[in-house]
Amino acid sequence: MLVDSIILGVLLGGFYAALSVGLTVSFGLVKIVNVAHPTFILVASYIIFSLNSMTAADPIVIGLLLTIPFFALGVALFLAYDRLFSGRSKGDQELIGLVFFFGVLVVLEIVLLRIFGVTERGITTSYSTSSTILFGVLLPDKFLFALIAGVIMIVALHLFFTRTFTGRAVRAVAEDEIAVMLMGGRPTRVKALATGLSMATAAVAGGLLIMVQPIYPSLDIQLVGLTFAVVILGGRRSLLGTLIASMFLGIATSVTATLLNVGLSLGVAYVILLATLALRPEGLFKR
Amino acid sequence: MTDDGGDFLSATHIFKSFGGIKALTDVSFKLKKGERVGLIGPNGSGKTTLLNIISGVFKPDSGRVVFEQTDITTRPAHARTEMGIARTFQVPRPFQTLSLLDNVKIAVMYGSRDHKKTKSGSSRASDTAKNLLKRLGLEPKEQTLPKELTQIDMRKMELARALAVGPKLLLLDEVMAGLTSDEVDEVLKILLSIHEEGITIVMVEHIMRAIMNFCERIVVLSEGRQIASGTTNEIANDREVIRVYLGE
Amino acid sequence: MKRQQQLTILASRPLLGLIATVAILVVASVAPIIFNQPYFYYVSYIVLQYVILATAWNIFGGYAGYVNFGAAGFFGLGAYVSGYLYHTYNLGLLAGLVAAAAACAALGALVGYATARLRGLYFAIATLAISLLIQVVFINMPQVGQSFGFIVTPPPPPPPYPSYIAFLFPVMIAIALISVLASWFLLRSRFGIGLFSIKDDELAAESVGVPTFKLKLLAATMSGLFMGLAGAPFPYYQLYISPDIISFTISINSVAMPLIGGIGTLSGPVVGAVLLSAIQQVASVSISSDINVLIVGVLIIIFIVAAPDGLLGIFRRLIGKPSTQGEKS
Repeated sequence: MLVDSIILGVLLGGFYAALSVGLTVSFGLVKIVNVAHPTFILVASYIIFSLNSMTAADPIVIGLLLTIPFFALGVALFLAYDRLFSGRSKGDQELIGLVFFFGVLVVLEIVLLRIFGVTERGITTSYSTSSTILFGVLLPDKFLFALIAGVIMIVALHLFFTRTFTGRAVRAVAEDEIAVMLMGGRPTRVKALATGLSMATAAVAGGLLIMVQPIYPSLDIQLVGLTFAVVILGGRRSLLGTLIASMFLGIATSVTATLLNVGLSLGVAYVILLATLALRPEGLFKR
Repeated sequence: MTDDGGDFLSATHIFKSFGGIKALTDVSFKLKKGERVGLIGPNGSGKTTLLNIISGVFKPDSGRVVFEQTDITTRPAHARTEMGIARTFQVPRPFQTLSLLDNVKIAVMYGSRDHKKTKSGSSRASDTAKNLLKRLGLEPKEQTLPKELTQIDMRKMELARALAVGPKLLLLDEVMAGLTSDEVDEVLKILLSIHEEGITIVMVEHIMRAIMNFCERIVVLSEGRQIASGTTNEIANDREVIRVYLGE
Repeated sequence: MKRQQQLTILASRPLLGLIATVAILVVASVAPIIFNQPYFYYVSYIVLQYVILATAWNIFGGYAGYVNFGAAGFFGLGAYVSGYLYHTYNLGLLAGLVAAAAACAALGALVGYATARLRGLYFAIATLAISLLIQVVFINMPQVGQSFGFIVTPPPPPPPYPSYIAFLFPVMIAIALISVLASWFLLRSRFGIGLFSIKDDELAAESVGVPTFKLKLLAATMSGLFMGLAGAPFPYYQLYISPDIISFTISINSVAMPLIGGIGTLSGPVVGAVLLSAIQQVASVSISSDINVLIVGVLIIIFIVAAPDGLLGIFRRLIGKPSTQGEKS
């Protein structure tokens, strides 16, 4: 029983990784505190829900298609943010950005509420209820897909950031923006691109989210606690950290749900977040 | 190369790294009460880091800082200020939303050793602050906000704030940077009068004229290590120092 | 313009302020006995609640610059403690106020202690997590009815008040006055100027001798305490306590009201609270209750971008005063 829940936790970890990796990029690398990231994921889920009810296409496929407009959205979002706030002092900027995105979160959530109402929306696919047996354990297919998707996203981003020129430029800017400027680079462009990537992951995560569970407008708040727990525990900028922290949180929430109850499982994530902030705010990994 | 240290302040075997960068490697720095010491070296040699470790902005990775026989290695900066260690910042850090007078007054209210007897509304803090501003020629601007002050005014504000705590040790981090020749002289005069009150002064500077005129003893850092220490004359003729500054 | 001249009459003549306070209290205490207008008292309860919340939030958020995203958690804790004491042990409002204040002060101290070493950003995230955690705890706590909560039957109103809600009016006025007065003392005190210096430049503050950690801890505790006071009478107002009261709307409003009114001033949070509550009451009656939250969200964005000093900042700029903090306008 416990072993099952641990294995399910690993699957869940992959799902959490997919939800959080966008934040690793935007919060860790671009250093904007986009608390509205989970709300954007939710927006993607709702768009996918609407498109699915019209076309019956698979949510993950729609999610992948959405990456392009979401990428553009991310770029636009960063450029707007930069235009609005670049004049402020560094210290102010973080908090001002935080409040700004907080406002964005509120506006988006209420818009979703107005359009879709409070009723939960879900999508059933051919694999919503099926399971695969691997090594004698029953694994729900939807979580299996979420795990695979999450891992692929992390690996893809890792390759992007280490093997491509643009990717390394993003990391360089995160490291020392002034140095990049002095060398003739354009940090704003690079950061806009990274934010676009972050949004693109939100599109995919949106597809995974609605595949895994029914959605409702106030879900985003709970996801904020979860995704920030992952990113801060993992170490703001570290993709490996995001993966490991996701797994850890996945197992923690799964085991809590099994041993105690489902209601407390998210509570565990919050406790872990608070403990991390209190004891080791820099997280597990540096890069 | 002698190390005329003393037991007023001693920072011994200080190591400090930031990530992969070794800012200070086994640096020992000692002061006798009442000295005027210069701390020089090329950019990146660790001068500001050393000041930061003495004033408490950073804790060293290893090593000890002892002030007047008290180990202050892990004491927070505000506690060291109360003990009598004051500093100026390389880039002035005023409180932007407080007037010039309040910028100095807050240092009196919190940093001076008898601050517990000073209440916010009390005229004593105001008087002390006003007198300091007067001494530095800033009195007419006491209600201005920092963003309207000139470069030299800001440097003087930094000095006033540092003096407001009634320091025994004053750490100056490039206080003359960006000043004209006349302004440098003006500040030097002020510093000399401060020194006459018995305050020990450490001056980090790039403006050699100021160092040579003001300091009795000079310590030279390069790449996180101390490479020379001696009187002004000795340092001026030290081959290693010349090499470090001018290259081979 | 000399800063002294910028202080208003009330601020520079404490006697006048004291008289005004007493006058308000007397009027507020007597009026409900004479005028029985329950609707007015229901509406004004919420406005006063937000005046308290916004003022409390401002102590750590506006003065020290540490943004609290979880005011709902503090509020909810206060309401639950007070409601539980009454529901289970029949302890009245006074006990509820004291217990709520203590519990929320402790929470504020805890969060402050854990995060005051960190940048304000991490404090903000921590407060959000705390409020979510508090809600989860109450949802799973059988002693308070888990997700159903519990019903509160109000005690008979102390004579000569016609109803309990009428009695709550002077109570809330009194709490609001206490929090505004506390905020005012803070503003003019050594503690207050220390907080402002922390907000401006924490490193410089530490270097001139300000014990930043200690001050932040104290401010967080004070802020928590008053948020608890805002929540304590709530069970007697709503007559029902459930985890839903830890609503995100409260957290949103607690940020928006000081922001829009003017962070870091005394009257800013009050102005913001009165204005926004009024707008929200009107909107929820005439349009819908979620539109009013949408309005708040839009206002947050507009103000953080274009007018971060809030309405008071705009007002000051219009009449030509420099934007210094620490003033009652």
